Amino acid sequence: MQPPIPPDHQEHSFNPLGIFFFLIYVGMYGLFIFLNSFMPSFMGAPSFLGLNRSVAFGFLLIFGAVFLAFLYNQILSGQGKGRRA
Amino acid sequence: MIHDPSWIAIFIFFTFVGITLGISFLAAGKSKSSQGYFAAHGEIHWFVNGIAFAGDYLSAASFLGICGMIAFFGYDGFLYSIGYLAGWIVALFLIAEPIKKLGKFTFADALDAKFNSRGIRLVAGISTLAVSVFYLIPQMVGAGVLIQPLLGFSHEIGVIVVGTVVIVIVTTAGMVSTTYVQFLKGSLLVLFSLILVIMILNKGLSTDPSPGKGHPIRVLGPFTLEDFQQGRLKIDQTQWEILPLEKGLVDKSLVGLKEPGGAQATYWRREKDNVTEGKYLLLETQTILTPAKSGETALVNGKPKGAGPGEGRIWGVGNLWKLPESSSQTGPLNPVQFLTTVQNSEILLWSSEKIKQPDGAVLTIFYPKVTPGKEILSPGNHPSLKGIRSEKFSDKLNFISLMLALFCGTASLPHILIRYYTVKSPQCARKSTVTGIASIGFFYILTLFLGLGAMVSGALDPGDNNMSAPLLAKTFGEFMFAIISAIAFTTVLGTVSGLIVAASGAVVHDLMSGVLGHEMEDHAKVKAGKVAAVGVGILAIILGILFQKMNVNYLVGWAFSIAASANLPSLIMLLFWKGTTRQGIIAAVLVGMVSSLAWILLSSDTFKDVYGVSPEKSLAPFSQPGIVTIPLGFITLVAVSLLTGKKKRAA
Repeated sequence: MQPPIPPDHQEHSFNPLGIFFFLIYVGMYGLFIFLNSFMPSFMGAPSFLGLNRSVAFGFLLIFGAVFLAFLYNQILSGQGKGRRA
Repeated sequence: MIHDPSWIAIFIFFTFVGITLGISFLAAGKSKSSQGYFAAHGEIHWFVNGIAFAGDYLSAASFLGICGMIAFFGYDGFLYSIGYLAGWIVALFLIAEPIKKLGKFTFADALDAKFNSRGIRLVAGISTLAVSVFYLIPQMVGAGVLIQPLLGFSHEIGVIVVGTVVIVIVTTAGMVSTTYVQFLKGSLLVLFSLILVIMILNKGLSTDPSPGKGHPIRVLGPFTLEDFQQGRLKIDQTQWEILPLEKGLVDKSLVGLKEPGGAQATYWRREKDNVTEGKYLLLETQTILTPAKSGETALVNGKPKGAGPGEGRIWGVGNLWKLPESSSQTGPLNPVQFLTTVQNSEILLWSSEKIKQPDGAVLTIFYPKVTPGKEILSPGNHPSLKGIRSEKFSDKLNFISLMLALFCGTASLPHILIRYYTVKSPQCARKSTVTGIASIGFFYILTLFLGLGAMVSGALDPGDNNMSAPLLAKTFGEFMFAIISAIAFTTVLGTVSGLIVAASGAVVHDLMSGVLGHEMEDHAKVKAGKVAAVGVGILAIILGILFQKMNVNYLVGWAFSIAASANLPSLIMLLFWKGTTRQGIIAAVLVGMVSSLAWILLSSDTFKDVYGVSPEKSLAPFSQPGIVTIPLGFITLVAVSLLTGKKKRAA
């Protein structure tokens, strides 16, 4: 019988900022699925720049992912430089 | 088939194959050790790895499948783009850096990092093989689809050619050549997709996409409802007989007619006339009559199949029926104008219906349906996602399940995970993921324009939605067709190479060394990896031929479900829960893999498309298993870990 993983393994394996950003995105993605599933007529209505909400929200999810990714890398790279200095 | 091979396409195709093989032979010297063969010595630059991520991930499913799905079903295809990209969020924020710290060659390395368990290696190796094989099928199907119009080969020959080229790439230089082929392919795919989208926007939208070319759809009428009840319609001063049709066809608003003195029935789609209130138009359809006996010639649009005089072939379809304000063309548009114009237009979307004839022959009718742009740019047009428009909660589960599988699947794909071992450090793993997300995200934005552009191009093959992107390119000239087809072909090469490296790594590193305990010299490991690559390549060829008719994008959805159910629970819990035990991981991988696979095999889509049995007889309540099997994997891991961890503490 193997013992559970030593505590230090988990401590080094994730970044709280990553978890925070992950939860933000999960919230957006979950909302997108919910609205498309249960409020299709709301999602079909025109919104930003005349695009319907399904299309606009879809673009938001793609651009949002790219934005969060760059922001995450920027913050962590900054922290890394700070530690080295 | 509505396309013919061309010399320029053949030339560009062989140039691309030559370049990819050249890269492989050049890189051969760098992959003589197992570290080089399976992980490119961990020396790939993060930017190259990031673009290679795009090359690896933007598979035939992404390019051919999504564009085809958007072209025929609108927004539903774009849902895949959104879900596929969202999956990278899991990879970046939760998986990228830890897996680089934990592993060496394979996904099993990471799972087994703290346990040194043969059981974990066994189930992780089997899971890697299962996911890789399911992912390989659509890639090989896509290869056959592409090579057919490009070189004029049959689907089978196409699959064999692709399989052979990929086996050569992988066996010459393993992960090194695979990485550079994927880098080249990722760059070219994004660049030329952008060029194609610019051409689409510059051309704008028109109710006659290729004036003077193509086949203008024939329209009869208008008629009143009473006309249809009289059994005959007056067309061109003659009386055409209305034929009785079975209910399935009547439900699709199809009408069968026979010209005076005509030998064969023709089929028409009835649509409301927007000009005259209370009247109806009949729109031309296309037919293929496939004889019961092999060897007999099929009839296409009532004539023997062929391209010569007196022979019949399927003509290109898909065009705008009505633009806003009844204009006939728009001129150049910006991206937002393009989408809002489509949204406010009416478009002819094509579907098909099959009828078995008394003599065993099968009649396929391809028919147009006037569809509002608003409906096209909302989810629920694809048969598998139509439940989203239902009032019943249970009907929506397939959509929710699919979106969950796409979100959880990316970070569980073995061929994506092993790419983290090709860079130097966890920081490089993170940076390469960010590069991958940027390039993949940009490409997925383009897919919506490519798909909608194809939808109104007048060039679609109604019997083959996987060919939509190359056929769209063809409307801009033979050169664009050749380039896009060759890039799509390289797309298949890049992804299949990655999958074969992942699968051969699982066979050699996990199963032979880790489970069976075969101690091998380094060069013997590389040799075994090459033999395994040949074996997996041959299997891929066979499956690519067997699954010829399925939409490549839909098949990839299955691979995602299996990966997400089998691999993600263990990976996540290993990183985030201290109570995870060896037994918990083994149980979760097994339960996730078996349950998702069983669900897929019992689903209505598999009954219909693979077994050829009525989908009503299926045993799974909906097709996508993720919403049940992913939580099941997590629950299994927690339950078994609690049980086995408690026993240990008690002892």
